[in-house]
Amino acid sequence: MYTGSILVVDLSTGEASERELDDALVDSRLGGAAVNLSLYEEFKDKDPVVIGSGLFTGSMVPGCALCVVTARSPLNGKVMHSPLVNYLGAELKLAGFPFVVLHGRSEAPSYLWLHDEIADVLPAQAIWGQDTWKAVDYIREEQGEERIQVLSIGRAGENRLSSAMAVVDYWSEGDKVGLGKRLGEMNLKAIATRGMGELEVDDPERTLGLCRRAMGAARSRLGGAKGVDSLLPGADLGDLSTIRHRDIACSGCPWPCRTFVKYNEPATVLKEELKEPGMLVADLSGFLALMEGGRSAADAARLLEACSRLGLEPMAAAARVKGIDLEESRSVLSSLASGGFEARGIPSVEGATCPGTFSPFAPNGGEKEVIALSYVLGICPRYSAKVGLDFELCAELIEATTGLEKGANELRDLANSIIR
Amino acid sequence: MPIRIEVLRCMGCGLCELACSYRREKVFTAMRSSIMLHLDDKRNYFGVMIKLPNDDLVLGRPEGLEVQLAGQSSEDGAGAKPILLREACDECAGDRPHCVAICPAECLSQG
Repeated sequence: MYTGSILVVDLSTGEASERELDDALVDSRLGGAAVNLSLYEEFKDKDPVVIGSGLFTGSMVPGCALCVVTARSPLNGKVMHSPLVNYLGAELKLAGFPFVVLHGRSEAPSYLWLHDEIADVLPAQAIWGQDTWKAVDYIREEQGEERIQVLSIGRAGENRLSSAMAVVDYWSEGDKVGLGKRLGEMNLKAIATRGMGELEVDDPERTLGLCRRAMGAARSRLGGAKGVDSLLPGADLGDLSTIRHRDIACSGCPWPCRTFVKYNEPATVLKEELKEPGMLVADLSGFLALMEGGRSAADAARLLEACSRLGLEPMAAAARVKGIDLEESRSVLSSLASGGFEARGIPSVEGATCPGTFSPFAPNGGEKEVIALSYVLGICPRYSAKVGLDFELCAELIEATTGLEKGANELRDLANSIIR
Repeated sequence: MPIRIEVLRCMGCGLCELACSYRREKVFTAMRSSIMLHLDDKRNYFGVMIKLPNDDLVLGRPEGLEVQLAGQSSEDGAGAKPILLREACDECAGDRPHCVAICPAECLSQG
């Protein structure tokens, strides 16, 4: 289920080295956050940022969109795991770099381009100082591919603020632990990836059957749930329905728990018209924080867009714009990203599981072992919290895909080993 | 029976691409499928295209279905180029198509 190798990039020298992802490491740690932690410990004296895909990331196992970033958080000094979704994890894995260790500091602004088992550290002067949306557009244009996935920082990260957030493509997402600051300290504007590789499995027919079984069970449990409102039923999302366009899933997920909203053109427009018609609401906690004080869904989404462009964590910023009108709020956010606005700590998200271990991206709870195992296997924690995780089925899937025999109790032990 | 696309049901999970490639090569990749997701994420404009045996393309766009004849190109044809190099859909040779079976949004059906 893995192709390629572990990539180690020393940004101080620009040198990238590769080494084999050995079977013993996969046998003992499987992948995702567990392998990330092993690599973090190995490079601990270099204060690394480790990016990893889960064992099932990029496959047909339902919910398998997860990419995990493991690093010391500047907000609490602890090693934290941030969940990043969309297609980032799948592309990283298929590019041939299922795990990436970054350390050092680039002399000049740069970005990392991972593709076809090739790692390039490229100059980023052209996009340093630009917002994340422009950075994504620039990289996709420069590399000539629309489906390149980009993790980038905005002005807040460039200014090394603890309130900075690393953004996936255009959208505010799972980094609520200051990863944006860490990338800024490295002078690293972005990590971009596109994968054209293949993932082999040990037993293809059994794997397909198990994936279909898991999908059937998932669909039954989901019962047609969709949209960001299905993530936290009962949450007051105001007039969101008036700007709702379409609900979007991540790679390999049967639950479209993100909602694209249009506020620059009518939500009913289906054709490609405006280049920037709106915003994907993936970060529900950030969106709700920006709605506080009676702001409309459209204006909250506009401010979520502003935070995403600036690479500013919206929950931290929300308190500074509460009760202020839209235009002034935009101005305040811009000033916060330019000035010395430091977050007071990791934002508190009611319902988040193991907030001392995982960035609080999933506000919908979940048993701690379920969430932890999801971080190992590459299954989105929001999905697992919603649908559950059958440990026996996971063990069967692990055996079918890798040939490794793992009992449910062994999986629980591994899950518990990453909880701090 | 041809595969039908109700593209407004599509939620962009990409499982159809994986299922099609898996059926052909028994590996997970999105690079060998006869069905391809078109994604313009900033506009939230996305749809599905299928390569037919005669090299025509079925383009499932949000505003409707269109058949693009072999050799033709549309204004946004660049996004379709990769699929032109791939094998055509054979509807899984009479079995229930893998893309239809896995699609969680019921965007794809047969008949």
